[in-house]
Amino acid sequence: MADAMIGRDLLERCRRGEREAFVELVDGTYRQVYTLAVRLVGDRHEAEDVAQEAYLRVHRSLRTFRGDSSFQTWLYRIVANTAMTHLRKRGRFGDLADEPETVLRLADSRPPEGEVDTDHVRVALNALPDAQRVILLMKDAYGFSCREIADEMGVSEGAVKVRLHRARRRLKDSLYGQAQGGHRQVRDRLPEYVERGPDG
Amino acid sequence: MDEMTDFEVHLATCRDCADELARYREVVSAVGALGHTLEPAPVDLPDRVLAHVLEAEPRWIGRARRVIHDRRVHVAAASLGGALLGAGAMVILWRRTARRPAAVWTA
Repeated sequence: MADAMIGRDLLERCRRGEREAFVELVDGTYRQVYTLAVRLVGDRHEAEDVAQEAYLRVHRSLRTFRGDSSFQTWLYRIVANTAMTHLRKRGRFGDLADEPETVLRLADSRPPEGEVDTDHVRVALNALPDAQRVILLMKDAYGFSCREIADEMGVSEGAVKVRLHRARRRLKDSLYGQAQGGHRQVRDRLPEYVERGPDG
Repeated sequence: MDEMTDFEVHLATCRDCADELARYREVVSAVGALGHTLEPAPVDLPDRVLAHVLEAEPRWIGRARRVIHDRRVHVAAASLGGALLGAGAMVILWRRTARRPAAVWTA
């Protein structure tokens, strides 16, 4: 299956080993690949290494791409997997127990009632533990399901949901300050409520 | 279902919890917006990617892949296969003919 990102003909030419086709594929996708990589690893220099390694994997496994998902989803999955391998090698992909509970406070540096600025979100994201940042981005920015993320990370779906909720809460606390009022039971149910939607 | 209704009633009456929900949703939405924007990538990244791929993959693999996918090679292989099958059939027929007793032919 081809998609808006890459045409079917181009994919077929890449599978046949045409170098010019692979050049075209890289030209057409490297901005998206680099963007995902830089967000997942949180460092521009490391993101370049991740992008290069991801394309090597793409090149080696293009023949096995059967089109069960879109090419974009397949490509993003490879980039995410490569980024996770990269973070694991650096010992930055700890388990839940290792994740520090410190929260970066950005709430004071932005207008209290203003909309959340993209730069603030980026800074707050980079302050999250790596595993939480990866899960949050894959779920909320790139639309992967918790099941898919769990498969990629080799953990249970429940562990992904716990980290997702922690990541969102920490990001919220970082951007708005920690909640002073409200009820704990309600806060704990917010992820489920938001996932289902008010009509779910 | 009643539990959910109670939850929604509480949200409608508790300002703090309603604010908390609004902020939680805003965080989800702000992260979601990142999926639609691109970071400025180094312009020479494609060149470095290709150099990395070529360096990691020996040249003969690329050639072999091109040969395997070449339609002319497919046609040649099919022709050769057909010719071999035909030759095999001829040999079998010739052997069967050679094994039959001469008397059958002279009778």
